[in-house]
Amino acid sequence: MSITVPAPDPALAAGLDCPLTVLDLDGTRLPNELLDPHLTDIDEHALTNLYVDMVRVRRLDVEAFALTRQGHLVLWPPLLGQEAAQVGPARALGEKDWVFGSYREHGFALLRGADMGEFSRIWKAYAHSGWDPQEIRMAPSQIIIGAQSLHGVGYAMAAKMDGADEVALTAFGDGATSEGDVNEALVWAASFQAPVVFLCQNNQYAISEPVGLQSGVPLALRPTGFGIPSMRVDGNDVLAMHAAARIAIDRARTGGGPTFIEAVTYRRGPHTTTDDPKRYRDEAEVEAWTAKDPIERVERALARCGANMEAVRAEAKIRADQLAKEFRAACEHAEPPTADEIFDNVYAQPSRRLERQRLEHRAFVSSIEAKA
Amino acid sequence: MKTFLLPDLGEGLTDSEIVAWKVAEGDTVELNQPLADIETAKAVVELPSPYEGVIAKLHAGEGETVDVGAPLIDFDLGDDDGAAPAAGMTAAGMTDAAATTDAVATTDAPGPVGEEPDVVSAPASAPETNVAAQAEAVAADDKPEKISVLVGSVTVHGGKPTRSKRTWDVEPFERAALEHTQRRGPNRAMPPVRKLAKDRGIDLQSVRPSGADGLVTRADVEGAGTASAASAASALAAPASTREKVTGLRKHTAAAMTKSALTVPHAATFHQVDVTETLALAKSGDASFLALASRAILLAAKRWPEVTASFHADTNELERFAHVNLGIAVSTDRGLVVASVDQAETMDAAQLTAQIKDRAVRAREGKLSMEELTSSNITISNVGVFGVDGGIPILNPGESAIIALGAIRKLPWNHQGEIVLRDVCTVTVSFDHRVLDGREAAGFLADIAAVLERPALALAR
Ligand SMILES: Cc1ncc(C[n+]2csc(CCOP(=O)(O)OP(=O)(O)O)c2C)c(N)n1
Ligand SMILES: [Mg+2]
Repeated sequence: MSITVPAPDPALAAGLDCPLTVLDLDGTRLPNELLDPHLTDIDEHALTNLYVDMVRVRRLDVEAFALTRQGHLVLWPPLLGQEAAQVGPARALGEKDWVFGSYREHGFALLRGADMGEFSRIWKAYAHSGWDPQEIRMAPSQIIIGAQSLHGVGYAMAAKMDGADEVALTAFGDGATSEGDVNEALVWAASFQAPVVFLCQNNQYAISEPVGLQSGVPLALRPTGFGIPSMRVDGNDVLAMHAAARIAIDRARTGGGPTFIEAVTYRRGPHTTTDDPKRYRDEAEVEAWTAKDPIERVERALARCGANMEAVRAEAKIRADQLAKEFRAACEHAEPPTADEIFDNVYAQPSRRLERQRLEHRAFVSSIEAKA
Repeated sequence: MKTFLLPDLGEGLTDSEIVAWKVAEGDTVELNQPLADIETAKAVVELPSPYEGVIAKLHAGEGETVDVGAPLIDFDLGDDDGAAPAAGMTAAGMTDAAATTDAVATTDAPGPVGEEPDVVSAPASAPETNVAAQAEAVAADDKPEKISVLVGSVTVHGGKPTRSKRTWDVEPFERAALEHTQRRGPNRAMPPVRKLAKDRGIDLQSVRPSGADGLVTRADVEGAGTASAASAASALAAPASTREKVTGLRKHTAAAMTKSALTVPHAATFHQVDVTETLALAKSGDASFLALASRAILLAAKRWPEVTASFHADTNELERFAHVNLGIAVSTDRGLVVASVDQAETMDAAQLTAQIKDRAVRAREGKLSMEELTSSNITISNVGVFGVDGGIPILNPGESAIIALGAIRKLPWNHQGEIVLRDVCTVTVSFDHRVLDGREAAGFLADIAAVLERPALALAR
């Protein structure tokens, strides 16, 4: 008896040598055989919308960062630099599709329509989920690295069994690909040909560990070992990300199974507001990536189309400032949860025992009040 | 007028240091305009302005440490009743926490809305326990350090950024020569370097920085040392006294000792012990004298288990522990720490020797874990190394006994009816008189002494 062990098939992966790009740094449109057919409807207007989305996402991120320093939020994982990697795919999803993301998915949250007041509650440590997952079809932020990939695949498998026209997109980082969860999720997605998109935002670091420590091959090569086709995409190119996501989502929706997208991008800020990245990386590296800014690239592309950039910028700024103001106000006026609420979310249906505990707790609280 | 209180800029920090102000009193500032660089235990961070207005007062100077929840900046919002755009905003976690308590307490009777005072006084900052003190003790100067944060943990290195080669960068990046980066504002340095400068009386601002990002390095300070020593000689006569802020481990030790001395009724008992045989044993074998003395203490503790108990005055409870976690008092450059050898009663003398040595080494390197720094339930202090016979040690907070071993001296001694020179050591036990009475403490000490005098007794115990 002989066993042949197939090697990962590089043909399953696109962009291994050089990430797929359609917008050059100077804003010129580069031809791309794979992505171009999925961008035929993107005109100046559509690109402007993506631009405004990215500006708003960045403004939200910057404001939240400041609000953390000012004591209104307890923690914030910034996404500065990753706007395109989120906006491109978020705008490729259908209304009924689901997002299962990590803690850094603020762009998805905003574009899925999370209420800013509700959203701020997570990062004030007032709530476990800042939005109603069913309403915006986005699961709560996941802190456990990679766990959401299993949730996404599970959802997708269920959707397939139900014959529902829904795709699940699960977003995670480069570090997450080292987790068992993500690898298990890939196995299951492949075995069940689940309608799922794996979006790996390779922002080059898992906290202080550079991605080179996690993998000696491009992350996009890994899923091919599971038989899952993948694309390695310039994550700072919103159009490339949009097109790649469209391909993956279409494939999932039409019974083609899972796809993996590695968005090659960079986290320009600290891991969270309590991290000091200067201790593990050079400023020069950050500068090199700042030069590849996803927003400026689109500005240049729009200018090349002949767009009135002054007007576009002004419009984007008004909307971004409005969003920042709204978010700040929400942070300032959020009511802290009461201890009573702890009892609300233990079970879907209240249990007798829990209700008894709630009453005991209330009695305890009022006994303290009486004495005070 | 609005007073902005210093928020917790990390996760669970109690204070931060003002590195540099970027604004002055009287300046008009915009919302989110950078106001200061602030150094926490985790990072130097920029503080963006929480208001649009005029800086009326800066409550702390550069280099000063401010407690979380303490006033940092007064803003004049040009609006006397304080109903400015950012009204109702006070500092941070601290006031939010206060609000949480309020909300719980007034569930049934909502209070008036919109009448928040301008300054919500922050609740007393977190109790300064030993934990905080020891947290600083473990912050090693230049050693990589694991800092846990809510979303994971980061490894930080005091010195150069370290990293391994990256294989799959989109394109190789070039590292600009950071040496030439020009920084605005006063000189900065890592805390150990600041301490070095302070110890040597060198003004950091007078040192030319050579480090990345304009940082003053250890070498810079050492280089400056020679120059300024010369100039110091020619300086005017030294003042009659100087005062300096007590910070770090010293400050926390001070707080812990004050608390222990003021809240625990201490009593002590002494015993001069002929340790000739134990010393001979130590010299002949693998076990150190300290480890053998520890064995004697552990055997005695088995007979007198209350010596490792802990008295809780708030609940009037006595907490007993299943194991003896033997704390080793270690004096380090940064101050005194007590490192625990957990479950010491399960170890033989050779193991204890190794463990004690390990704790001493790592304490000096600042590499002990928080667990090791806080888990002891009885402490041994080898004050003899300083050449003294003893003293009355103050209890490590929460413990009921501390044993001090004095210097071992050759003294004329009545040995088997004759006066001969013997190795004699004074052993002292300080104890919590709420837990132990003289009878137990004396019995405990007598048992320690008996084994030290005749180590063979250990076989029988
Ligand atoms: C299961 C698990 N292990 C470890 C951690 C600690 N942790 C928090 S963030 C993080 C790094 C994740 O890196 P990556 O997946 O690249 O995501 P990024 O933060 O870069 O977006 C780690 C290890 C965690 N939250 N969960
Ligand atoms: Mg990452």
